[in-house]
Parts: sequence; structure tokens; C-alpha cells
Amino acid sequence: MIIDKKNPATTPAFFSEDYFESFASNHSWEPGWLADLRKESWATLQENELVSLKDERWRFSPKSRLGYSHFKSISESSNSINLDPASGSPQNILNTVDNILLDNPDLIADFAEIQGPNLGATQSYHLTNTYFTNGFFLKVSGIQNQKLHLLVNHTCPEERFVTFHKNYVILDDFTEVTLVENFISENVFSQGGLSNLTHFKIGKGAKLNRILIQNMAEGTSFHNLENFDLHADSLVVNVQCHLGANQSRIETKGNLLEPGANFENFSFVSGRGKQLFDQRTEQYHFAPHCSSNLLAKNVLQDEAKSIFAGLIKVDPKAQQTNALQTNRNLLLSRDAEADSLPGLEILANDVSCTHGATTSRLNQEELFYLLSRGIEKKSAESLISLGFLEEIIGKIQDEELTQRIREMVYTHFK
Amino acid sequence: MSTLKVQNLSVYIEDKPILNDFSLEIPYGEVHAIMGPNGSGKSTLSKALAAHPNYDIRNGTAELDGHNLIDMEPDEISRAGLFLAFQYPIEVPGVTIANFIRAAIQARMEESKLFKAVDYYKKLYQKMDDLGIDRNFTARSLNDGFSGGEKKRCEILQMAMLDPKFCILDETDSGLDIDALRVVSAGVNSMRSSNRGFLVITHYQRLLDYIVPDKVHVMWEGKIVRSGDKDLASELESKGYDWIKEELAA
Repeated sequence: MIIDKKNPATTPAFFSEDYFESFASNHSWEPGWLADLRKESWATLQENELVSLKDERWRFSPKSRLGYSHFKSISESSNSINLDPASGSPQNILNTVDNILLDNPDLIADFAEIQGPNLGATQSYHLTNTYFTNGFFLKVSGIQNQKLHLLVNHTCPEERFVTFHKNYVILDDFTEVTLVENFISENVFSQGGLSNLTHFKIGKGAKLNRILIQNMAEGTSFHNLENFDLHADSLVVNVQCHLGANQSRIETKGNLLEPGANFENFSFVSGRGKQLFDQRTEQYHFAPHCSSNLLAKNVLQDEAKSIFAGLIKVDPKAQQTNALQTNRNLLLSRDAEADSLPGLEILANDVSCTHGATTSRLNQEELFYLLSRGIEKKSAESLISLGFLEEIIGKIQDEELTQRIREMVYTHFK
Repeated sequence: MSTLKVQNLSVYIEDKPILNDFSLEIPYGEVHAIMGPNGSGKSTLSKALAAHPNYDIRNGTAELDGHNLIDMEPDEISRAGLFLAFQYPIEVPGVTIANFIRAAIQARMEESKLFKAVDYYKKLYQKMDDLGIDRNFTARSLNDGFSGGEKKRCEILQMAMLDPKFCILDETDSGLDIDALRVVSAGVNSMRSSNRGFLVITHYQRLLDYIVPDKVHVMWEGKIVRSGDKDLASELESKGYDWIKEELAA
């Protein structure tokens, strides 16, 4: 059994051998490869627990807040995922993992093979692989007659329950899709947790527009780990909007596997109260002639804290790489805190890679200008902050959605 | 009678006195101009009246329509009816002109009142047309990447939309070409009325050929040292500020 050394009495039951055995027994109807995956993940989880070396991948992070010891138990409710019912078509499959496992488990047999992002959150990763009970599977095939726009809602459980989602998105060659994922809570008092692990496989010439909106209750925990594999000439535009949850660990990795791939990764955080946002990213260039661009903007008020650690990694053969990475933080209060760790690891000699990070306070001249027009201080701060985040929000090519996000951000400042 | 009344005002920036026992009274319906050399305190006056936090008012009073401006926050002063057109309008990335002016108008509305978008845009477009501002500007970030002339037109647009009781124009003519100067001046002149006052701060007579003042004041080392009618501006233009300096020394 894995014991929380600081609070042994509060270690939840799902860390015990008995619990796992019972869980495995209840899931004995699942295919053998899945039983093996769960068992291996459980074993790895316990091995990893023995390692207590300081981990650079958790630098600046109050790791204890991102553990699982405060949860009571696992929620296996199938209602934790909800798909836009109108979005399916004969050529495309969008379904819950729950249903796929019942009807056609071979579709997700890759689950046993896919890996990543592995940027430090090993406990979340292995716990999710051990205990996931839901998630979604999307496979887009064939030529699209119209632009495909899909919606997935993930719901964080109530009280102190945690749920685990494992998702798999496959875009066949030359397909295109817009995928919007909302992360919400059952109610505003929830102190539950949601651990979400997604693997994206983007085929040759395929295009993915992905928008993630996390607005869970502010007592919840959010772990979001995602891995993008980009094949030749594919494009991913990933926009993440983080407003909710008391603590979040967000890991995003883009693997540029074949020439011509382009990974655009944009995100914003709007933090208040004691919210914690721990963001880790990696742009890994395996192949030549690929581009990646990352822009992470964070606005923090009260005692909110963000950590951004990003790495651009370029293999020796990935010549003619073009990679950018920028983190900008705006602090609205004295007690807000932003840590930034941009990094480069470049082994090719013909590349263009830049990275940078800035943290600033509210520009007093901008504030005075807005005040001098009669706008109250709080509203003026909100307007300036919203303006700061507009560079990210503007990447979303859907006016209705951007308007909704602007309103969410504006409300978050009140 | 309603008025902007400044009496014995002393203003410091980081312990350095800039305005020294400054007094001025402008009744509504009148346009007064302040001229003066660089460093005489003209912009300090405008920023201090608008309660910029860097300007420390240590003595004196400033009243607008019975409101004591000295004890008020910048947003309260604005809502009380004072508008300052900035010499150097600030760039605010990501905040569109339309949203900015809307927020300023909503800040003046009673909570129970509904903001009517149709009426708002109708008025906004009309004012933009009058000032020769392209309607697409509503979606652009406030002053971000604007030319000097565009910034100044945008200031006058805000002034026209907010309908203030009293306007201070701080070197609105700087950075304007002749055509822009005409348009901006026409915008100001269209707002002249018996229940609105103006204080126009400028270096040059040129602006005052378009916005003809009722009175002209000369500022020197933080004080008004001479006042007269519009002919005083012409005299300054021909004789230069040395003339004032010599008179003061005499």
C-alpha cells in the first residue's frame, strides 16, 4: 500500500492493494490487454513511490497540493463525460470509452501502447492508467464535406471524489476537425478531482483545432496530461483556457515526428484566491522542417500562483527547425506569484529557436487612463487583464465561443 | 454659477514644486487657453486636476460644480464631469475602442438602466464619421499602433461620447497635421455650449485660430503671470516667451 508519509491516516483506500484487487475484479469483463495495462500501471505506481529524489520537473511547485491524499474515493460514474450527440457521422467515431469497451474494444487496443507526455506527473499518469473508467474516443476518417465541430464535456465529481479519464483522438490523413472540450463541476461546492490523460495522433496533412476550457469549481483539483503526435505536414492549434480548480497540473507535449508538422500551443490562466496553476510543456522536434510556437499568458490576482516550465527540444537530425516559446505573466496583486522556467535543448546546428519570459505588474499609466474615463478601478483592472489575454482568446476562430470565454474571464475578475 | 475654480494650488512631483500658489477660474460656456514655455507646469495642472497618483497636491482647492476634486479618485472626478484629453494617449493592447467607451458610459449609468447597444453604436458611428475616423477602428485596440493624429482624434471621440461638463485639452494640437487639426478643432467647436467649459493647453497660436478662446493665460514657473483676450496669443507668437521673462524681471 502506498502511504502518504505526512498524513498516513488520510491516505485514501484506492492506494491499497485490496482496493486495486477489488477494482480489477469488478472490471474482469474488460479485454485482457486492458487488465494487463492496469496491472502494470499499478506496479509502476508503487515502484515510483519509492523514489524520493528531488525532481526538477516539480521545481517551484508545492507538490503536496497536487497529490491525491485528500480524496475520499474514486467516482466511476459514466455521467462524467458527455458528448455532443449531433456530432457523430458514419465516417467518424465519437464515443465514450465506456461504450467502446462494451461494443468494440479493439478500436482502443492502442491504449496499451500509447505513452506520454511524461513531464513529471508520474503519479497522475499511472493512477489514470490504473483506474480510468471513462473518457472519449474520436476517430476522424475520409474526406469531410463540411467542417466538423465536436464538443466533449468532462464533469468533475462532487464532494471529495476523483475520477480518471483516458482519451484518444485519431485524425486520419488529410482530415480536419475542431474539438471543444469543457471541464466543469457537478456543483460549485465540489472538492473533487479530475485526472485527464489524452493522446492525439494527427495524420499526414491533417488539421486539429482544439479548444480546452477549464472552469471547474474552485475547490477542485485538475490534472491534465496530453500528448500530441504530429505526422508530416499536419497542423495542431491547441488553445487552453484555465480559470477554475483550486490546483491544476497541466502537461502538454507536442512531438513533431515528420517533416512539415506545425504545432501551435496557446494558453491562458486567470487565477484568483489561492489558485495554483502548474504548467509544464515540451515542444519536441524529431524531424527536420517543422515549426512549433508556444505562447502562455497568465493573469494572477489575490494570492494566486502559476508555474510555467517549457522546453524546446531539438534532435540532431531536426535541421531547419523553427521553434518559439513565450511566457508572459501579469500580476495584479502584491501576493500573486509567477515562476517561469523557459528552456532550450538543441542538438541540431541549423535551427531558429527563441524563448522568453516576462512578469510584470499592472501598468499604472494604463490604469490611470481608464480611471480618467470614469471606469471604476476593479472594472479597469478587468478590462486591462482581458486585453492582455485577448492575444490568446483571439486565436479561437469562433465568435460565439470567444464571447463566452471573454464573459467567463470578466466574471472571474469580479 | 457653475464653474471650475482652482485656488492657491501647490503641486509637487517627488518633492519638487511644479505648481506654486496657482489660481484660475473658468465659468461654464467659456473657453480659456493656457500657453507657456516647456516646463512651466501646464501638463502638471491637467494631470493634478485629474488626480494622477504621481502628482502630490499639498495646498489649495479645486472645485468643479461644487465637487471638491482634491478629495476624489480619478474615476470619480471623471464621472463628476471632468474630461482630460491626454497629450500622450496611452496604448492599451487588447481593449477595443468600442468596449472601452462602452465601459466608460456604463460606469455613468444607473444600475437599473439597460445599456442599449443599437443606440450606442448609432451614436458612436455618427461621432466617428464627424471626426473622420474609419468605423473599423471600433474593433482596434485602444491607441495601439495609432498614428499621432489617430490618437488625438480618438481622444476627441471619447470626449464627444462621454458628454462631459468640463474639458481639458492638453496639447491636443501636437502631432496633428493641418487637416487633422481642422477636424479635431471642428469636433471641439461643435461641443462648445453655454453649459460646458474648456481649458485648452497649447504651445502655439495655431490651434487658437480654430478654437477661438474667450481668454488666454500665460503660465510661467507654475503660476498665471498674465491674462488677456485672444490677442494675447498673437502677441506671444510674435514676441516669444522672452518678452514675458523680461517683463517679469523688470
